[in-house]
Amino acid sequence: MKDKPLVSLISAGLSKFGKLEGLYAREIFAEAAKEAYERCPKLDPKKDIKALYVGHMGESYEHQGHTGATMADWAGLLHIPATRTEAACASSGAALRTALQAVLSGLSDVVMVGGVEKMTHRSTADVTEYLAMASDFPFEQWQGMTFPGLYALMATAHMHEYGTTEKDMATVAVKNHYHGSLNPKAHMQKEITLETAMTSRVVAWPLKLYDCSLITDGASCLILTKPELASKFTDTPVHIVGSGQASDTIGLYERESLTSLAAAKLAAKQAYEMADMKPEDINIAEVHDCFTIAEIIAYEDLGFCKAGEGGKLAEEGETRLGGRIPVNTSGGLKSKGHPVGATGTAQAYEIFLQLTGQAERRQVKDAEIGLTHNVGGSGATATVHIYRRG
Amino acid sequence: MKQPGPEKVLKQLPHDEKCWEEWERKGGWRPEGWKIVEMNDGPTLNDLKPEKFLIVHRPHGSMFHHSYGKVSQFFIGLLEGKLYGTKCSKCGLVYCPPRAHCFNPKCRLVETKWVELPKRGEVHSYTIMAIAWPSMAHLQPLVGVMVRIEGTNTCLPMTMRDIDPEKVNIGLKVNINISKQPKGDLLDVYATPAEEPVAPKRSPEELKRFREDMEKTRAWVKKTFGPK
Repeated sequence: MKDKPLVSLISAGLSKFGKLEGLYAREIFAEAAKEAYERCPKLDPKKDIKALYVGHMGESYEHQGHTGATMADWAGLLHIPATRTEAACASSGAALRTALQAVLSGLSDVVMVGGVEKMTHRSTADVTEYLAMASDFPFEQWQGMTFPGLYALMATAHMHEYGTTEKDMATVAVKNHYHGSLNPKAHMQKEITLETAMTSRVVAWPLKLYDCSLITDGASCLILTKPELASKFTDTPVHIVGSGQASDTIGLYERESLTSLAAAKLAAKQAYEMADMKPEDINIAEVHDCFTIAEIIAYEDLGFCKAGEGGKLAEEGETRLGGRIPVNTSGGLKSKGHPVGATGTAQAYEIFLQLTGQAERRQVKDAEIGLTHNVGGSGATATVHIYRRG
Repeated sequence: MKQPGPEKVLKQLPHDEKCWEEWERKGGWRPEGWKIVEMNDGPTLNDLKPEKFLIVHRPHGSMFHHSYGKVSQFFIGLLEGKLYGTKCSKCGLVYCPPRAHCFNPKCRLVETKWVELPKRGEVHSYTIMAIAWPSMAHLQPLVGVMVRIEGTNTCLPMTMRDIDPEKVNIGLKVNINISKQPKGDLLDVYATPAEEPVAPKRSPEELKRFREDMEKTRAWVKKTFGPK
């Protein structure tokens, strides 16, 4: 059956994103959980939720591991099975996939899945070091290459092969900042001009400051259940109709191509096939724009345009609010922020709002089908999920 | 029957373990300072109220050891001024960075063999880092390249010297150099041009901005670290 629901989202929550100095990750997660509970009054969290999966990348930030149990404790869910998943920046995308399996297996009827990261209290050098742990230890971490450096290598290759320009990338930044300016929970709610983006400080050429996502604190969560139980909790569920996950070499240095992420293409293929859908069916998407070039590559890997035409798609305004397929209406990692472990389910939160008509000033009219694309590291993990309005 | 270990030291550059032990023993990791602050908090950025927090400043550092495992020979090679890769005897793939087992699915993780490689290669992609690691900030703008070593099928990441950043390009032939005082990590390796570089195509406007960007970076380095 076409787009048969696998599981249903009955609620979602998101902490504010930003520099949340003073708070612990667990407190930020509780904020997201609280919103999810408030959005779904028919849910009795303690009684109904049977398991928790939390995406969390780094115990180094707070010197606090054992994230699964910690978050269950602070979310008022004591004694339920609680497990952390780690897949670098795709940690909660992978948690979502795991939660989906838990519901599909019949083991747990109602599951909470989320993600969290508290990063901004560490120095940029520390954050850079912890993030670099998602790249290959002996050959990528210890020769001076930063994460912006790795994505810059992809950007240079994309420019060389397809003629993509710095302006194309800046266009993505301008769009996402415009979207973020409409999101009251975004880290940087500020519009920028093309000139600002293009003349900002170089980080790793061709990437400049405004090509890079933000170091952010934040948490996100979703509540999933079996489709047949959804109506017990809400009249407006969102169904997940496709799911894909794939991996690739941990080192960028062994990839056949630097202009595409094989794992993302594979994950997308699985998700489209499961949903029996094509890229043309997608109305809105949240993609992993850790760097602007990553969003351009995502357009191509997800089939929104042909390989090499991602820059053009951005340039033509097709992915801006009002365009053919608005991408990152939340502001994306670029403007909403990128608390790495929280990002995957934060993307799903935005799709949940959009498909239930709750996205306020950034609402895409009549959005029915949404997609999320969450990438770990330089592309060694990718998860793709497809959603349909219930 | 033989058991793994014990470790027999063949050669060594000793390090000062003691100062780190002292640091830990004296509780070097306890807070150095603190502040009580009032900050805004609330469910959204549009709805913030002041709250009080205690913030402490805690030092963090350690000395640890790690092995290079089954690819140690590559790094032993650097200490001896040589460049090594590995080759799969089944499918013939040549790895640099080395892999101890071939990842080609057909080869079912067969062990590879060490081969010495020529110190020559070609730029596969590049970046110019203007915010590098703190310990390398004085070298900004720093050219980072992925080099395909001659005769290999993968790419070795490294930095590049003796080149004007605006000239570095994909396809540039390079020489691989190994530091005269190697420390035993990938920073011992760097590339230098092996031919007259041909700059990538840039519009006059792009070139102007590129030069301004590099100038800004150099000015920052000069201001921060003084003239070279």
